Amino acid sequence: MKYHLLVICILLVMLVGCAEENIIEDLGIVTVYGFDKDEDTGHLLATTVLYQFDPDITNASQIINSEGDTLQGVKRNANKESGHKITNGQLRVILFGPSLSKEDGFIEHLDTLGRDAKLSDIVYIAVSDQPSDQVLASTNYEEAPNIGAYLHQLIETAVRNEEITSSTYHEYLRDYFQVGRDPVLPLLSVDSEKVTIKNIAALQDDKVVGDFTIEEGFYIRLMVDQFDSGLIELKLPIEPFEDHLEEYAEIEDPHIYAVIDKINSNTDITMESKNPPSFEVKIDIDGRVIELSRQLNLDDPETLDVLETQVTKQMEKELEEVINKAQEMNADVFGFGVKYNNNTRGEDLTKEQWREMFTDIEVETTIKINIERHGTVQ
Amino acid sequence: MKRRFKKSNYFPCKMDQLKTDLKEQYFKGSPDLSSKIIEQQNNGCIIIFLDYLVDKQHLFDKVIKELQDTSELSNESIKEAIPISGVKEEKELENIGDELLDGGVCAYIEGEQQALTIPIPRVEARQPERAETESLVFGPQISFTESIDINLNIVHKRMNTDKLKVEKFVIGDTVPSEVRLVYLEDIANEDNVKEMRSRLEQLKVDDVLESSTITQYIEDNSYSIFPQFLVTELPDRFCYSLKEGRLGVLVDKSPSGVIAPTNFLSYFQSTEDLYTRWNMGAFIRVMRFVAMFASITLTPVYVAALTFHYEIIPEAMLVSLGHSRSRVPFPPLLEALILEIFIELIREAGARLPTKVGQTMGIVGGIVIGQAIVEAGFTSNILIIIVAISALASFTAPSYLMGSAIRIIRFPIIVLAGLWGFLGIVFSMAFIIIHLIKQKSLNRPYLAPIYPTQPKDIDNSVIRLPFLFSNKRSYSNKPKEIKRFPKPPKKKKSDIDE
Repeated sequence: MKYHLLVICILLVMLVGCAEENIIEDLGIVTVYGFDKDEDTGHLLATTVLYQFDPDITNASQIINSEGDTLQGVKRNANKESGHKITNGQLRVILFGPSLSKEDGFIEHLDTLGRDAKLSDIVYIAVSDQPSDQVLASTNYEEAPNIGAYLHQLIETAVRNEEITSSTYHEYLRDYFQVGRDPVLPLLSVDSEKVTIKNIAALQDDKVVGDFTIEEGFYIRLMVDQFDSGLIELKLPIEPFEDHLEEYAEIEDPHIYAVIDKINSNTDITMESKNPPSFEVKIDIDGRVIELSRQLNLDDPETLDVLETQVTKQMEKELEEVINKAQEMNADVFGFGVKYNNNTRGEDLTKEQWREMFTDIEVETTIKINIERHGTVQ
Repeated sequence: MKRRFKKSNYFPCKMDQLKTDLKEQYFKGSPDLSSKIIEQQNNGCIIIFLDYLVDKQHLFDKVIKELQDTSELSNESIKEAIPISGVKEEKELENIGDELLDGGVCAYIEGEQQALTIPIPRVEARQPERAETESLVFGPQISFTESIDINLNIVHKRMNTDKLKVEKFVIGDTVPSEVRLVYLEDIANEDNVKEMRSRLEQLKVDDVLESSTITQYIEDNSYSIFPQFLVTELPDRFCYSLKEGRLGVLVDKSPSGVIAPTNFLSYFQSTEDLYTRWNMGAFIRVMRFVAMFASITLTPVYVAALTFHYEIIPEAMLVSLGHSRSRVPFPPLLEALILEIFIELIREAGARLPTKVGQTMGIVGGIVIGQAIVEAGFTSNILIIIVAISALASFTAPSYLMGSAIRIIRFPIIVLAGLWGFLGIVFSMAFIIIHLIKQKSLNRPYLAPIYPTQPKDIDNSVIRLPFLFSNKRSYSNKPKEIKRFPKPPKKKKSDIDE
């Protein structure tokens, strides 16, 4: 027993040196990296945003611009410009500017995320339509301590509100490597000194080929994921409702706007035939009407019926448009290729093969909507 | 005690001779040995006593008065006349001396073969007062006092049954003290009683001092920081434990009783849990366990996270932590140790100083110095919150000894956390758990009912259930009779209005 205690005591003293100390105030804790390409030299230009702890300054942001060829190299170079030890343990977002995301691709710069245990796997990957140093230099980041924390908050809130699909490193890599599916990433943009999620970028592997609006993104999400409490605004023609309107005010608008929330969806994609590839998409939606621009008596089953048919029609139409747009970009963000691959075992579908086939696939969509509640005030 | 006087047939002797011999041979010239000679026509009687040990009132009313009134002086007549029990006839000087020390009076009638001793001790004892260290909000407030007579009286009053068994031991070579083993014959486990009896019988010390010291002599592992026998000043807790099948030990001159065997969880239980309604009791009991755990881990986690694992700090806390740390000149380990020692200082100073000054001390120490320390940038204000919470949490343990153990055990964990990070915390927690599993209390497992696992004991350990479901004693105590009372029939719903 005494011998054991002695060994423990010796270990206690000797092993102290082995633990790497990271005392919080000595660190430059990186929250976001922004990468661009230096067009002249071909090097990687990095914008590193770190926390700076100073009780007298409420702003805890510190931005370092450095150059390098790899993420770790950039970090090392950034270290030269800071009295703090630059660490990646709190990294939340990696942002790629257009020079990388549109032209060269960026997958090689994500390699270290899979190798360095200090880097989290749930870092959000995002692209921007302006050089990333401009995006990260924006000064309005609400009450967040710095721009990195704000970006993380911005993306996470949008994901939680089911506005965009989540695009963490893990999820991005899954889409990247899976044959028959192309990844989407949030496209950030600076608007009057404030970063916003402007669009949803569609990628072929690691290159942006086009973008969808957030509204179009709703349909992408509808196809690849389930909604638990989504929201959609639809613009419906007025004609079918003529007999059901209960007007109390004169409104000159040939459209009726309907907002449906608490959308709970269930999507079923089946492959109908192999050559040419055609798919049937069945979507069940439950939802609640929370806003109508014109007065309808939804207590009347007929009126409700008309509304449901029109909503269905409109959604099917918009969905088809989104699918067509994706086909034009030739980015299968819905994962039809995965279905195809699953149904044709043994054929060893390659990415290139699917790229050629995707533009020609036929999709038939059937949406069934069930409006459950339509307001509480009588 | 060694026999100092071989002479067995001392009497008869002269009255003065007796006094001189007692004074010279037994009391070595004590100035307090008083005597009075009562002369009657044909005979004389001397009474000898130690001034401060006898009840003067009794001495004059019951002894001297009776002796003066008796017409014929003889041992027999005095024995009859004096209305006090325990009057003995003694032949030997030594025994007489012993009786005097116990507060007796020696009456010797010249010419008799024996001297009489009449016990009229003056007992200076505190009357039972409100419990101070284990005070309850709710329920009986009385606490034990320094007199074993009063304590036994309280226990007997509360446990008015013939099954209550009391065994007497006298322990201590230099200063013998009365020790009583108390238990309920029909409930307490026989093996426990035997074990306790043998431990008490085999205890050879010069002086037991107090019940908490006797605990340290006879408990299973005196090296451990965790107390294995529960020392309480509350008679209701003492008696409740007896009813649960545990054993109690009362020590003369000590204001607390010892309860054995105990397990780790019983140090976080209070009789108050039973007095309040079951849901409140259960909540408070669980809260105490959480508090204990928080008290042990909060500061070490702070130290480890700030020294090694900045990755796990939530984003929202990172900035405020960083800001408050940025002016501190010490590493987190030193910062935490300074503050923990500071809190212990305040606690110790508050406990030592008189009550009125103690309060001021608390204010000066806690508020003024605490504020100044943060202002001066010696520690971060978040650490002050953490240290204060863990100090508070440690005081929730209803057993003072366990609370202190928790406070002390934090220090090595903090040091390990500062040297090894979370690895150090895990290491020390594992060490504590292994240590606890190895402990025994009166040869019963200390960590019961967690290990060995006894799910039926959940209502007597971690939480509290309504008495309707909780009619059994703790299984891990191995009582002779497991049921407290038969399960009550289901109450029929009856509405008076109907």
